[in-house]
Amino acid sequence: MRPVAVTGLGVFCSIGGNVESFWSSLLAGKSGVVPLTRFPAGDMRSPIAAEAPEPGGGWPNRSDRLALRAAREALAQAGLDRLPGQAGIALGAGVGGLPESERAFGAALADGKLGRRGRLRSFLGHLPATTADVLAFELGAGGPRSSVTNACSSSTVAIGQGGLWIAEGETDCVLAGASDALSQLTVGGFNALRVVAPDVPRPFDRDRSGMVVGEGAAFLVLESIDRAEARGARILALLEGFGLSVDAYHATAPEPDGKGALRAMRLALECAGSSASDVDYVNAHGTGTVANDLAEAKAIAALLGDRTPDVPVVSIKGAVGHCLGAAGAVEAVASVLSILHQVVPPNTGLAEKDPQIALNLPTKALRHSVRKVLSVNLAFGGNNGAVLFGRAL
Amino acid sequence: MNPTWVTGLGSVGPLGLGLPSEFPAADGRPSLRRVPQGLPLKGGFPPQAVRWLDNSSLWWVNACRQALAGHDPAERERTAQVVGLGWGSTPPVETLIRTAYAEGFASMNPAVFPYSVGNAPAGQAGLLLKVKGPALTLTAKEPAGLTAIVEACRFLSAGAFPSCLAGGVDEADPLLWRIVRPLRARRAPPAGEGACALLLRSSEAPPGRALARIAAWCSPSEPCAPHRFPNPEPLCGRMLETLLARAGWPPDSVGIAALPGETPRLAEFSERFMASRLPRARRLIFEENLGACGASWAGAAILAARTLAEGRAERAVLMAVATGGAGWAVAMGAPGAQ
Repeated sequence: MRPVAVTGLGVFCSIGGNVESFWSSLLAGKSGVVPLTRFPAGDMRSPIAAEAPEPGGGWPNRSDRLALRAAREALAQAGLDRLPGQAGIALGAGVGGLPESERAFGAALADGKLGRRGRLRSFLGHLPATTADVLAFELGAGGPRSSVTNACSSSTVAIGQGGLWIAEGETDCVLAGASDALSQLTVGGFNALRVVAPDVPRPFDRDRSGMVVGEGAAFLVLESIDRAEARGARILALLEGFGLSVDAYHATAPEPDGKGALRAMRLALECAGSSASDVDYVNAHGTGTVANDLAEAKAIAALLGDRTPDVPVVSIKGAVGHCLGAAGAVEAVASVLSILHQVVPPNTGLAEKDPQIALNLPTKALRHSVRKVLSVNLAFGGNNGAVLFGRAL
Repeated sequence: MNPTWVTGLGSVGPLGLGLPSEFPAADGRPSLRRVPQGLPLKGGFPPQAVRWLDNSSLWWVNACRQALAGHDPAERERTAQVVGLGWGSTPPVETLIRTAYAEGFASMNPAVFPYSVGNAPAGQAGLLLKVKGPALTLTAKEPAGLTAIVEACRFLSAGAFPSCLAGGVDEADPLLWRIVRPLRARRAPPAGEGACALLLRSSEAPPGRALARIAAWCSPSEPCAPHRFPNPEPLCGRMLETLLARAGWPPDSVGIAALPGETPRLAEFSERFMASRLPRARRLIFEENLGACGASWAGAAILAARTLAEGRAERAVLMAVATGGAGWAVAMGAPGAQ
């Protein structure tokens, strides 16, 4: 794939309402996990989440408001008021308007009046594709539009898809990223699966006991290098490649040896014309569940081989929680920031490394030469995605 | 861009398993077209593996099984999936929420939760059919099946994978239907449900079993208020001009066309558009039989491919428009035609 320029970043999540506060909180090891306040969760096993503050804005759905907040920051950093006329929008979709539609549904179940007009509005925004439509309406963009629903790898896939559109000449600018808001269904569902930690997520820790659901939004402005250079935009990093794979193993559990994840990472490197020896830092999916972290660690170690002790690997989910559909986008922003600042953030929540995991897992922010970052996300259905970012020349 | 070839077809829908070459005249105008009960969909799979399967996954797996029939099983290792969802996995979501509100969140069934994510059908096709290439699931309302085909063509053209199952799937959740029904235009086509899959392959020369060639694709958009259709004139004009330019076809060479018809206003526009811009084309009517859902535009692509393979037309264009202003279009030719 021809490299694509990253010219803007925006993020809004539990540890920061913009890129600057997000990055400083991440380096400081701050965690956004709090007792749930957004909805009643008394009967859930673990009523905690990484809640984002109220994003503001006039749209009825929280996912749309989160998306607009982060997207506007990304555009501003790229020096754009609106997206160019033929720009595309590649959205990693999460629950869409489910937080609003599930409340309306609950109210309808209680009083038996489904068709009240206000409730109909809530259901209209239920579809995850609505967020991309709201972004296009507010910010422009008359090019390709897509809403990827690959569960937890949605936004990694969307970023790769946006890069492909540019590399293949379909358009020369794409707003790529994701938004996902907390909903009772997702928090309750992960509780039902008994994969939620009782207090904080501890990715790769010996005593890790699960993930914690988070929420947020993050976007990247992607442009062809020609377009970015022609308008004098600052190129923050390059999107160099992406890879997707399927485990074909289990509906929820990862393939234990991490072969599917390894395939996605290798495909991302192959797509970029790079090799594992070029990777300076791996942003891991690292949910904090026993099964995920072990399988993923095996995959990363198999990829890095002899360099495993030298290459830092970080999961930022101890800080931001698992932002589900938005996880890959939030982590992509963190990955680009690592390249820009030449600093690797810590594995927040990690106290004692699992002895079965042979990775280099920093627990404090680490100054490090970061030329290429591989960012990995794994999802239900064994849908794996990886993107490779490189330093701008 | 390398041409993409259609080499396999499969569907589960209101007309049962598979699609006929010509649709029967729709009987009356039911507001909702459902998949018939009692279709042999679970045969050949381990009972334990399909015990909790939701309908969307079951239908998608069966549509893919038909499309893959007769092809080398070894190819499945590298076959990808691009799945389009219209409204997504609402029945499992409804089941979970209904339980949670009635009995508390602790009572939610963990076996149902994995099917509340949109990519469950692709994951199940990977598991049950051993289709191990990359999988991408998209939501795009009613045009979702065509969205998936367009995105699959892009990935195939870029060399991301050699073959791909592309299409759409949706289950018409009765609750969702009750909610949406008052908002639908009077005289709109019926809503539907089902799954339609096309096996696509990218190569310079036609592969064996080629049914049709996808000569060009595009997906411009015309931003407008969410939940409203855009002015279709400029968007369909752009799509047609791009398709014909990329395929190198004159407008009067197009023999069949599928155009937006989700509302009476769109259907009237499409009639006018065809008369002025595609004077020799016959309009493909598909939503009357399949019902409007995430699968129906992939059903239109199946019908077009069969028409082209049987020599009843040489060139087809399909152009879909969604509320919010996104559009998707493909140009398909008979396998032997330029």
